Amino acid sequence: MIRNHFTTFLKHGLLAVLCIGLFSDCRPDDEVPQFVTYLLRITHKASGSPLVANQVYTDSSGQTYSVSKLNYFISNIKFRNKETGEYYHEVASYHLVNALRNPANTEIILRNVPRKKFSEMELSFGVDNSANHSTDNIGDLDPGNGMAWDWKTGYKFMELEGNYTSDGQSGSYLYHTGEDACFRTVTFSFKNLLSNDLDVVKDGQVIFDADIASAFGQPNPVDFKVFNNVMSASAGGAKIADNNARAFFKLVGAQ
Amino acid sequence: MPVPSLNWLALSRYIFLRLLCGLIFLPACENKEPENPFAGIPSPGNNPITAEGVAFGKALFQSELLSSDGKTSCFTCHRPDSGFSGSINHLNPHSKIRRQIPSLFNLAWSPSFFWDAREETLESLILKPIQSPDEMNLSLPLLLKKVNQKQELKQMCRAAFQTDSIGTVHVARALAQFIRTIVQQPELPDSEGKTLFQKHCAKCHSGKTTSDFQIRKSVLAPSGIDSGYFRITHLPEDVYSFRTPGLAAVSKTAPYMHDGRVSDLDLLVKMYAKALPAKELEDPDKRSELVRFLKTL
Repeated sequence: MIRNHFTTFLKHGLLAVLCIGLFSDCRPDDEVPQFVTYLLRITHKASGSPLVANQVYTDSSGQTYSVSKLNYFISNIKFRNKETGEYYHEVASYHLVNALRNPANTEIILRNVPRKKFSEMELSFGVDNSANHSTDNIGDLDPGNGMAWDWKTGYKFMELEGNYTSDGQSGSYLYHTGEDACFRTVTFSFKNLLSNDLDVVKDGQVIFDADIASAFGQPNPVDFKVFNNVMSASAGGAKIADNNARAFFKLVGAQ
Repeated sequence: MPVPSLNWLALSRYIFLRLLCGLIFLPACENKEPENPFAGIPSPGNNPITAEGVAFGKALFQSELLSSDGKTSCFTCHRPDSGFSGSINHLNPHSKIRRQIPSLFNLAWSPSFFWDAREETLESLILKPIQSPDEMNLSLPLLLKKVNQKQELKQMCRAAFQTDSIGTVHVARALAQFIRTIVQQPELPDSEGKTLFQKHCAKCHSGKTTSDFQIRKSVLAPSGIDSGYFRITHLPEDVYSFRTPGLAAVSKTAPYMHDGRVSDLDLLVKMYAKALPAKELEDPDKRSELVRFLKTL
């Protein structure tokens, strides 16, 4: 009787040990991560050529221009699946891009992207109004980064400066856009690029070309001779914002 | 004799109930918490006023480290003996500033700042005079470098914000906290001057802050080329509009108006009496009563 009990105890014990062994094989190290990291890579260009500080380019109207400063904010980066409604919204999503620091390869790290399928990506030019009515902010929004206006509360969304020649007339231009009226949101379809959703299964990257010639192009083509100094939305900044929203970023890769 | 056994269940219940009672009743019964000297002063949720923050802010306000010449502090222009205002004569001779230095009283209640109301928060405003070439002329990176070399300021930052690495946000928040504590809202007894003030002035200079802080054109004729709030909005209706200032310590803040065109209170009241118009104030005795009241604010 005692031996039977002992045998049963041994059998159950062995079974328990096997079960523990079986489940303990599923170590956290081997688990497929719920979230991955994506890089947003930006290659800056000017009229189709690589952007180089102070190099002279020609716009679509035949005017020449150079770029001595190009800083801008992008914010509220999202991935979204329009069919399932699933989405990723980067937390505290404000990124100051100094395009001339490394124009060929600006990188923004997107953390904790869920392993889902996404049909489109969204981002905004500028700083949304929840952060644009005080400069009491840290990180890329720290006013020490030089993007806070000196004439009102809020941020410059873009600083674009350089020289131009137009119809034989030369000079410098300065476009500082900002204020809520210059905030623009643009959407990029992964389906158009990949013929499918972006299937996020591991760390990856989304690649954009960013051509600053867009600032001078449609729908508000710039005549440098008469429009070369902008320091607000109402003084023409909104036109530059519309131009950039239309064509500055072009999605060229996602993997 | 049997040893009485300990009733663990009863003990646990007793301890739990004592703790619960303590949590519920003690704070209410034992009123040992020191009174908050800053209670009633509004502040943003992310920058509550604390004694440590105010002390750090005051130290920064007094510090000449905040200027490029190392000789100018916030107190240089916002002088306590002048109602925390001052004359633009304090500025360097190359300064392009033509507006009078505004008083700092009761700004915790103000929704906008500067004569042209261009700033929306104290934390945003506070960094502008530091960087302005016409005022303290110091870049923020240099400011941080200088203040982070001072152990005393780093310790004050730690006490206020739990870090001794002073960042822009700490400078802005500490200074804003200190400025919010510059309060003067006296309860004044009834008088003829008070009645005249309430009748003729309090439509705009209302409440304990003696201002509704609205942006408006003064009834006095505009002067000079300063277009005021128009510079911010570019709307024609905002030409010559300015933020209504409070009148705390008004007897110490001469000269008056944004451009300092009125040298003393008697003249100011006389000009307003004519412009409003307030026939009653054509009587010199009535004007004297009003001025006497203004001097008590």
